[in-house]
Amino acid sequence: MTELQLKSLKVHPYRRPAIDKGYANQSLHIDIGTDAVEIRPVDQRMKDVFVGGKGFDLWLLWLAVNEKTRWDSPENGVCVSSGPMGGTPGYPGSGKSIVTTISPLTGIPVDSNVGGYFGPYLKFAGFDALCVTGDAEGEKVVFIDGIDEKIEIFDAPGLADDAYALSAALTEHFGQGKPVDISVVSTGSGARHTRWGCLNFTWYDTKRRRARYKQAGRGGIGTVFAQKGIKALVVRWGHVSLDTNHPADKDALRSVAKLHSKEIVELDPKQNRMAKVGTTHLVPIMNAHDCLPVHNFRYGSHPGGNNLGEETYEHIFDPGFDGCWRGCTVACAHGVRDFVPMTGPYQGQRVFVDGPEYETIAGCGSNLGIFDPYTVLELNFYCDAYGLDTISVGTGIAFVMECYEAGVIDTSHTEGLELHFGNRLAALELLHQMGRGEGFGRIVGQGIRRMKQIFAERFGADPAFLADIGMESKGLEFSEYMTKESLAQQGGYGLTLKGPQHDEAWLIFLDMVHNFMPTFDQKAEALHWFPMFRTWFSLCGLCKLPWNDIVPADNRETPEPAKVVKHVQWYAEYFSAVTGRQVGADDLIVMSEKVYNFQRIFNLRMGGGRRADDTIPYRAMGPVTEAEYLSRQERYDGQLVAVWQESIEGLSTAEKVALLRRHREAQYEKLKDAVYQRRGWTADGIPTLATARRLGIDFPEVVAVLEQHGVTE
Amino acid sequence: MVRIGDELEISWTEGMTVGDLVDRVPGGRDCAAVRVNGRIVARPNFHRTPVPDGAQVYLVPMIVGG
Repeated sequence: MTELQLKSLKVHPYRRPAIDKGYANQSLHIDIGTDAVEIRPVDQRMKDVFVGGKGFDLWLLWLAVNEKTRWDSPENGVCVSSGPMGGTPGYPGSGKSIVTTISPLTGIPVDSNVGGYFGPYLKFAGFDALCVTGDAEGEKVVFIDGIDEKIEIFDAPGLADDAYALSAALTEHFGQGKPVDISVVSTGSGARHTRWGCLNFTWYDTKRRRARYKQAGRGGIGTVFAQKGIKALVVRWGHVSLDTNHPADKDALRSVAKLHSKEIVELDPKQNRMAKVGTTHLVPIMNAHDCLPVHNFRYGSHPGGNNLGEETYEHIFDPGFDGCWRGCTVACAHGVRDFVPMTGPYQGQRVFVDGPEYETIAGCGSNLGIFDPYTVLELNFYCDAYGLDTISVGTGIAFVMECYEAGVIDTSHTEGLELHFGNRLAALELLHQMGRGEGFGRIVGQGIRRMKQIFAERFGADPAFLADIGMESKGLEFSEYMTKESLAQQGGYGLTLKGPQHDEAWLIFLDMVHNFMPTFDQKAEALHWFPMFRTWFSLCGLCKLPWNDIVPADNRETPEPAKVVKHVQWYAEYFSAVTGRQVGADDLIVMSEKVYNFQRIFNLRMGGGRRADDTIPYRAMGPVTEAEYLSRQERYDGQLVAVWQESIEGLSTAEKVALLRRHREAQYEKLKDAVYQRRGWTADGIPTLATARRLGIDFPEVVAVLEQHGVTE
Repeated sequence: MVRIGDELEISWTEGMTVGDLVDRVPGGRDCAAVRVNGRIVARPNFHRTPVPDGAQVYLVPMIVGG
């Protein structure tokens, strides 16, 4: 056992309940400041309304905070939950944890769905959800030992400052010779110095004999974690089988799990090959369709883009089975062995890199004008080790690079860094500055929304230009898809709960390539159904990749191929088999609607959640600059004439940019109207009282929030 | 001969492109991408990508991931 300086502050013994139909039926509450430990029951109403996962997290967070709570208030919580199906081995994608907190970027709840073993182990240790509040003096480690039935809190000075070393040390220390029994949640030094902190969730890779990790990346959850003085959360659990969740109908569960698992094994090698290449197959496809962000979302393709795709990374990834939960046949969590960074604290040492995935490649690669796959690996490695979100880092540095090239900032502001697109060493140095809390990196790590303010107020930049090119909405940086030619995907980013993250609605291909939703009503319907169904995965402890990234051979013959209805039906059967609650496909949507609308009202309670909050920068809708317009002139000229019946004879490029903008902005506002109506919201984007009543979320405190904002019908 | 999926075979012609191929295959027009001998070809490149004789082609049905 590794000798670590851990001083026990508190031991709280408990009796582990038997898991019943996917639930432990209790939640764990820890005040990290006072070391108080409390176990509360999870009642039937909580299960009926919130299901689990993100639903449980949001409810516990709602109870913990008030309308004045900020991200760094002691009462803000970091909540973690899996869900009733979380921890099922053999059904693909069933090991997810969902984390929520009040975000330091947005001021409203953020949620993140992450792999690794923590959530399932937490439940098997006896807790459907964990909520950590309070602020510690110094740094503490929380150890939830489901085998020896105790919760122990340690004072933990002097531990490693980066997640890479810390995860390994804690896994070895607490594993007691069985490291596979351990999952660690931690962040890194970058989380302390920026608002982009992520959490790393581990699992132990028995083949490679090392702790691996996946990231709960979005919204600065790691920043809250670090601010509270939580050094790490550690959970210990042992054997897992199909019985561990004590499903209501084990035979039905085994049957549907086998069907889905077998189909993936058969079809993935013929489709996206995620078991070999992860999500890197998306890079060449996005590049070809003009959807791969290049140079801060100015362009959608680049000749170097294919250097960053599957044909490269397949040869770099360490071959092997890479599931982030037991028995998942998608097995997309690839990594690179023996990578040697050229910079930073691990310079010259061999390390293992977990990733990269598509988002990291596009954000830290093409969007920065970097087309060297090894630099992307290095950015990926250090983002994880420093506890930083690769998406916000990528989109944030892209914004800075455009500002630099446009002359908005110069080396006097960047403390000497020449932040041209493609400057790999400058991008890496900026990242190291965020890790160290030094230099220009401290400003960049505040996020695009705050950078816009700083650049305007201190550096004299034009706020309107910054608003157009700063790719954030609600304060969260955009994930990595070019949306200019897909109105539905603009809505998929703007009309979200937490900010522009594609996990809520990824409609870009259905809209732009397949033209499945040509009318506003069809787009609105899609922006209702898809966010609801995608939400459902985060209620249940599931990954959504098995739903629609491997598609049945006969899917195109079904009435609604975009929904992959065969799989939706399997998920209904899966839910029924575990929980004993008999549901059909439509019931899954209603489950999500309850939580989705609750979260929107939660946003309202925290000062967001209205129409104005769904604004997106014009760069997401169309060309901001003349150079962008001219790069796709045939397309834009054609649309002005054919779609908008404009006469463009004699117009300058600047006039055409303005004309196109007027039409596209109006279109986005029209989309908002259609979507709000479909979702049962007011024209200001607030769920109506009738919607809250229909969904059974009209608790007195919810109704009070609606009434405070003038919604009484 | 070109093999489409596991069951369908169609005759190969000189100069055949992926675009020619997907026009002749059920569901081909719905595809955003195909794999030709394992390599991804996205729709914008269909008509400029030749299909070699004896190729194994899989239709990548619908990209709805992310």
